[in-house]
Amino acid sequence: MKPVYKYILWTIFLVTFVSRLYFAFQTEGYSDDSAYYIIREVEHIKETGLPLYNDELSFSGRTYLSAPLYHYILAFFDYIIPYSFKIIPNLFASILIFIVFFIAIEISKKNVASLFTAFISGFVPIFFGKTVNSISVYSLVIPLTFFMMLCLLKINNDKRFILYFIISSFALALTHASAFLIMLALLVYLIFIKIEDFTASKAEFELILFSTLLITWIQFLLYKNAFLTHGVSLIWQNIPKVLLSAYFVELDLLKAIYVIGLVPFIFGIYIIYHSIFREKKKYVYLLISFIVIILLLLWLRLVELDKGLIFLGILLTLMFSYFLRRFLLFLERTRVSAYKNYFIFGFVIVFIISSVIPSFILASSEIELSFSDEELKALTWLRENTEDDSVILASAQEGNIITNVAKKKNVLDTNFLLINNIDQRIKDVKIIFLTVLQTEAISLLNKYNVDYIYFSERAKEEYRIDKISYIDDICFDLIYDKGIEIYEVKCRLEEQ
Amino acid sequence: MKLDERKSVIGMILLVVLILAIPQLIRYFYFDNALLGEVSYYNQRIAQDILNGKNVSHDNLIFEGREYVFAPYHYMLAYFSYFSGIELGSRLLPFMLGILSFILFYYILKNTGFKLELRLIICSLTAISPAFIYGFTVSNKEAAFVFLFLLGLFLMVKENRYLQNISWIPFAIIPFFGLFETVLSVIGLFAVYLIYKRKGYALISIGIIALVSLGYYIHFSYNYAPPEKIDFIDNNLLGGLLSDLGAKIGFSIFTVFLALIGMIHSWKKKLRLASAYFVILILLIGSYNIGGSINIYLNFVMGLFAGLSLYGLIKRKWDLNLVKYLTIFVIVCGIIFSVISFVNVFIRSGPETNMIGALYFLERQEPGVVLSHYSNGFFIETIANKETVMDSLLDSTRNANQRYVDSKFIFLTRSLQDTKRMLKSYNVAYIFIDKSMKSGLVWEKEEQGLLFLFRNNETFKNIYRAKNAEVWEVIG
Repeated sequence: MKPVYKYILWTIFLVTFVSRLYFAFQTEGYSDDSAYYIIREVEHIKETGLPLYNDELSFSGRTYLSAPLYHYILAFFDYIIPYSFKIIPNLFASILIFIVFFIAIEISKKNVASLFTAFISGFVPIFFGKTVNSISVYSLVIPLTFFMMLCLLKINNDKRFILYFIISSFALALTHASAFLIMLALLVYLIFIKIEDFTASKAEFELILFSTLLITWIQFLLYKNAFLTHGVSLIWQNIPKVLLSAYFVELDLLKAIYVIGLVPFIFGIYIIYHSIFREKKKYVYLLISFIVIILLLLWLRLVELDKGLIFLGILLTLMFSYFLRRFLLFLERTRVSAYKNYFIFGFVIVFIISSVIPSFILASSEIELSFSDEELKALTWLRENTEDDSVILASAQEGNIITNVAKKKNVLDTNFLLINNIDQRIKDVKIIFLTVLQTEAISLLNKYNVDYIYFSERAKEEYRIDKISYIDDICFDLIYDKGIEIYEVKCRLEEQ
Repeated sequence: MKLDERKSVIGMILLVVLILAIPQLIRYFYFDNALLGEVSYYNQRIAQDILNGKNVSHDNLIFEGREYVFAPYHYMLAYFSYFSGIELGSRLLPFMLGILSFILFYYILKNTGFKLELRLIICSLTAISPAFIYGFTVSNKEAAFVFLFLLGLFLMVKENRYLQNISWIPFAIIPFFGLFETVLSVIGLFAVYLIYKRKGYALISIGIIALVSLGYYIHFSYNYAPPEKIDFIDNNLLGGLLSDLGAKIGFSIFTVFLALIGMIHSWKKKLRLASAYFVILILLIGSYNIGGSINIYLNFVMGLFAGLSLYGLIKRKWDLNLVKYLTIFVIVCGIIFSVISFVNVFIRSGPETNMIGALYFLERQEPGVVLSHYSNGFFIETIANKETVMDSLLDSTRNANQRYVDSKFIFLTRSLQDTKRMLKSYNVAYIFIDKSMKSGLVWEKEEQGLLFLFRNNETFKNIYRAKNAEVWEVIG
């Protein structure tokens, strides 16, 4: 590779990384409540060397199951880098640029097309927005997944990639359950190879067999108890029925175009069509296999829409590199070949409008969702002014921040795995916020041993209320009122 | 390196001894030496009655009684326990049957022409399996059936005319094990007829099974009511097959995976193996409809195909040797981990210390019907020597579905009047509750249904309470 391309690639990386950091450091808090769960996991690892398994605070006592590698990596960096929760996830997400570049090189064999593809991959709106300020595990899962694909494309030329593939299979399986996605994709790839009469190298088959077994085994080891408790419905992570439709949403085409980006979406789809019906390329089928699996799982609502679209966005971006290669070759054969750079410039403009700007808009809206200083102050006050074993009632999306910042027990949060009667709990919490009957509310507050109600703007928005109707001075003390109201529960229903 | 067959076989037998002894030893040292599994208690009780010379034709320890269905295993257990005592016999007999079945299986494979390495792999995968451990640790009829079927097959495939001539004897006993076992044996022998050279002996054995079955089932249909279809047990093929997904008698996911690959690979010889596939199909249907006990039989077929597949993976010419060793390592670890986690759950099956204490307490009470979850029925009948509303022998229990509905109603209703009426209709004198009933098997919440009604001290009196078991007396 010419040095100029190296510089451009590093520049793209730096632009992406700096853009991400710019947004991440806009606020002290994080956009997603689950970020606070990850911080607790990391802190626990730093204290004990072990992942958080038995947690006395979440759901007022529960067991966690999680793939621990990401937490260990963050714990390691947290020792050596300040603000590691802001920097490291964005660093991982930005590394995707290099991986996409090298995959694109394998597909398009053109440096210009590959650089452009790498640039696009840095600004896939949904990936940019969802990983910029949430310590999301996907900031590691996505680069790892695509690195495995890169290894598979390169094993025939460079034997080192066999070892890299093995290591990354192991790492991905220990990072997140979405390792199943690449496993399924690789199996579909084998089927495509058989159907389309491509010659599969033995090494490819062997590595796919190995990774399938390894991922299955590790996932069974990690989530065995969850399998035993929830059975096949583990796919839906024990998400309560009332929230299920919010997580596993039907695929909306316009939203998909917006969050993936117009350029990769349209040209990626075209290349799928072209590859299946016109020019059959084995390596393109590797990407198509993955796309087929994601679309199938999205259609069956077996994968969360946002997560599915992140994968789809990167995959279609890679498809775009093949389009760009074909387009540039086509252009060279026409009379307008002298204007090639203008066309590329045109693409860049369209890309900036349809991908970079939406990425920044999405990132800004995610930053707006971050927990505010006001909220953090209220939670700090709770930590300092209430008893250690107090139980705090808040909405599910504030559960993890209650345990992390206030260091108090919550009634529920968004980590639903292994929780019994989750639907009942969600229903009870909703009743506590919405009922007008004080006796009903106190009975439920007693049921969960609630000592304090944390009533924030988020709860007001979620339950569409301005105040809790049954609150009075007899049974409740307003002990904090600075934008966020905190009530102490004083009454108990005595049994006759 | 050339393998020494004698040493390998001894090593394999030692492995089986170890595998089958470990759960018993853990149970002996850490769980008050109680028998493993539910059904072993029922078998122990009937065998004890036979040993004591009691009339076993009618079982009185269930509400309204039940006709005894002849099972050769009870007699085997009774005579086997003549010197050792029934408790030890209930442990030793399945253990012995396991080792003998394993040896027979090995020699059947040998006589069929499988190479030594392949035989060892197949036998290892068969033995290192939750279904094998359960089948030959818990005192159950399936262990005896496996032994007799393999014995018949072994005698048939031997190059010895005398042994071949007596091979029909074990097959003649098989119809008494049940209709499914009879059908399975006939299809299994038909597979032997198609695959092996011993066609004549296979046909004779089929004829003998058919003849004995005809006589037995004509007698059966005259004397017993047809079994009721049980409609309250949820069947789940995957959940009932994979021990990793909670199957009580199941397989490691990797064994199933390997067996599938083995079957796909053997598809080239589909005409010759058609009846073998049919056996697998029958076993899968049986596993789904009858329950996990069928997996004890399926285990041998799974072991065979999984072994073929693993042998194929080992012998295959790999491009990447590192990947080969890692793949085999993952498979072996996966299977071993499945077995370890199964054993970890399995050693806790059956009554634990507190429960046994409550049952002995119940034994000392006046006679009366005991209501509990039907999965506790055999424990109550055998240890507490009390009549139950229902137990796990659902097929031969009169109105099992209605009894289940009524029990559930009693457990879940909060109407005292209805509960009293229903308890009276079954003459219930005691209610036995264990930890599993309170943690999801019957109730999911505190003070749900009957747990709430227990407050009424004019109707219920708590006569025993320990950490994991309670006994309530119905007084009003």
